[in-house]
Amino acid sequence: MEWTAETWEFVGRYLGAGFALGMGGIGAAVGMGMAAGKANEAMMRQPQQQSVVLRTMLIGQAVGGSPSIFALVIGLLILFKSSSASLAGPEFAAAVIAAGLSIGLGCFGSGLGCGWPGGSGCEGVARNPRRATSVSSSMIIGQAVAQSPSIFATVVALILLFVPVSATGYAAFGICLGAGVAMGAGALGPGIGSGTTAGGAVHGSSRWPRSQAATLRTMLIAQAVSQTPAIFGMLVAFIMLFAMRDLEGDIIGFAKTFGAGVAVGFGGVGPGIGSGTAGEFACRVTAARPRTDALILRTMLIGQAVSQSTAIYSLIIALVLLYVV
Amino acid sequence: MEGIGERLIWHYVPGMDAAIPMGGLNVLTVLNTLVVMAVLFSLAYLAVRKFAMVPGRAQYVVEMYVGAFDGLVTSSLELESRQQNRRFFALIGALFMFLVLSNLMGFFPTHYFEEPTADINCTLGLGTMGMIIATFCALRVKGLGGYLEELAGPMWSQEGATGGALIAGKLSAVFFFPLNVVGELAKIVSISFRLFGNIIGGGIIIVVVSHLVYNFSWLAVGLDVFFIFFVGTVQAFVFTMLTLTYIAVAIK
Repeated sequence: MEWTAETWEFVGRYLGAGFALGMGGIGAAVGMGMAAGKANEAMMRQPQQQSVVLRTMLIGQAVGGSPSIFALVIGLLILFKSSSASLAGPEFAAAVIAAGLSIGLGCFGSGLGCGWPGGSGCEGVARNPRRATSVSSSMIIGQAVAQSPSIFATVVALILLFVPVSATGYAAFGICLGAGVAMGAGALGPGIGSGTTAGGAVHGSSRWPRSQAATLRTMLIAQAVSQTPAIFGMLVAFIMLFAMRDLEGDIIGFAKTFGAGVAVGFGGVGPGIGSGTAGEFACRVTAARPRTDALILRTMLIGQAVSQSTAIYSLIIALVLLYVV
Repeated sequence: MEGIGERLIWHYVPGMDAAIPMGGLNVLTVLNTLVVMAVLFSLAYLAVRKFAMVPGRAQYVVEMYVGAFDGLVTSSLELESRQQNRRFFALIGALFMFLVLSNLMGFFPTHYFEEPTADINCTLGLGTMGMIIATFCALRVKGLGGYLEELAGPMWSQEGATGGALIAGKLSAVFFFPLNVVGELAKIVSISFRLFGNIIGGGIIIVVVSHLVYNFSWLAVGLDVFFIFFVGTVQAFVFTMLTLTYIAVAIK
C-alpha cells in the first residue's frame, strides 16, 4: 500500500489524538480521585462540615482537572484542524503526533500533581472550618501554579500544530518529535513535584493558619524552582523549532534532534519530583515555624539546586547534540 | 495565527515590512518599556506629593507596599545596618513594580500594547542583571578566593584532614566546580525563561482560544483576565523573590 499525503494525514491525526487523550487523562483522573478520597476521610472525621468539604472537593477537582481539558482541546484540534498547504504529508503527521505527545505527557504530571493540594484542601477545611476561605484560596493558588508545566506543554503543542517546521525529511520528524518529547516529558516531573509542594503548603496553612503568608511564599518559590526542568524542555523545544540551521536532512538529523529531546525531557522527570518533595517538607516546616523561614528557604534552595543538577546535565547533553556534534 | 512563530523570535517594527534581524533592536519592546517607566515615574511622583502624619488612603497603600517589601528584604538578607537593607530594598521593590506593570500591559487589547516581558531579551536582561548583582555581592563579601572555594564544592576545605582524605577532597573539586559554574548560568536561564514562557504562553493561548471559540467570547475574556492578572502577578513575584534569594544565598 502506498503512503499518500492523505494517508500520512490520517495516521498523524489518529495517533496524535490517541496520545493526547490517552496519556493526558491519566494524571487528572488519579488526582481527582485522590481529592475525593481525602474528602471522604475528612467527612468521616467531621460529619457536620460535609457541605463545606463537598464544596471544596468540587472546586479542587474542577481546578485540578483542567489539564485534561487542555488535552481534550488539543485532541479535538488535532482531529479537526484543517491541514494547510504549507504543512502536509509526513511533516504534518510528525507535527501532529508530537503535539499529542507534548500535551499527553505534560498534562499527566500536572493533573496528578494537583490531586495533592485538592486532598489537603479538603482535609484542612474539615480540620479548620473557620479558615475555610483562606485554606481553599491557598489550595487554588497552589493548583494554579502547579499547572504551569501543562500550560507550557499546551503552548508547545499549539506551536507544533500551527507553525510550519522549516526542515524536510527525517530531520523534520526529529525536530517535531524531539520538541514534543522534550516539552512533554520535561513537564511531567515538575507537574508532580509542584503538586506535592502545594499539598504540603495547603496542609501547613490549615494547621498553622497564622503563618499562611510565609507558607505561600515558600510554596511559590519551591514550585518555581521545581519547574526548572519544564523550562529547560521548553527551551530545547523552542531551539529545535525555531533556531536550528543546517541540519542534515537524513536519519542522522533525526537521531540528533530526537535524542536531544529525549535527553532533556526524561532527564527532567527526576529533578522535578525530587525538588517538589523538598519543597513539600519546606512548606510544612515553614508553616510550623514561620520565624525561621529564611533559613529553611536557603536550605531548601541549596538542596533543590543540587537535585536539579541532573536536569542541567541533560540540558548540556541536549545542547551538545544540537550544536556541537 | 501563522504569525505565532515569528512573534517568538523578533518583533516587527510597526508600519514597516522588514523584520528586525537578530543583531538589531526590538523597537516595540523598548517603546513599551518606556511606557511602563513613564507610568511608574508618574505613580512615584503622585505618591510622594503630599505626606501627612495621618495617612490618607493613597499614602496608606504606598506605606503598606513599602513596609511589606522592606520586611521581606530585611528578613531575607539580615544585614547589619538599615542603610544596607535599604539599598537592596530599592532594587527589589522597583523590580517587582516594573514586572507587575509590564505583565499587566497585556490587558489593553490594542495592537501595539504588548508586555515587554513577552520578549526574551527583556527577561534575559533582567535575569542577567540579577545574577551579576548577586555574584558581585558574593565577591565583595567573600572575596574572589572565598567565592571560588565555595564553587569548588563541599569537600574542598577540610580542617585537620590527613593525606588521603585531603587529596580526595581537593580532587572532588574537578567534579564539583564545572557543575556549580553551569548551575549558576542555569539559574539565569531558568528565571528568565520561566517569566518569558508564562507571559508569551498566555498570549498564544488567548490568540488560539479566541480563534476557536469566537462565539463564546466570554471564555476568551475570562482566560485573558486569569492569565494576565493572576499569572502575571504570581510570576512577577516569583522572579523578584528568586532574585532576592539568590542575592541572600550569595551574601551568606
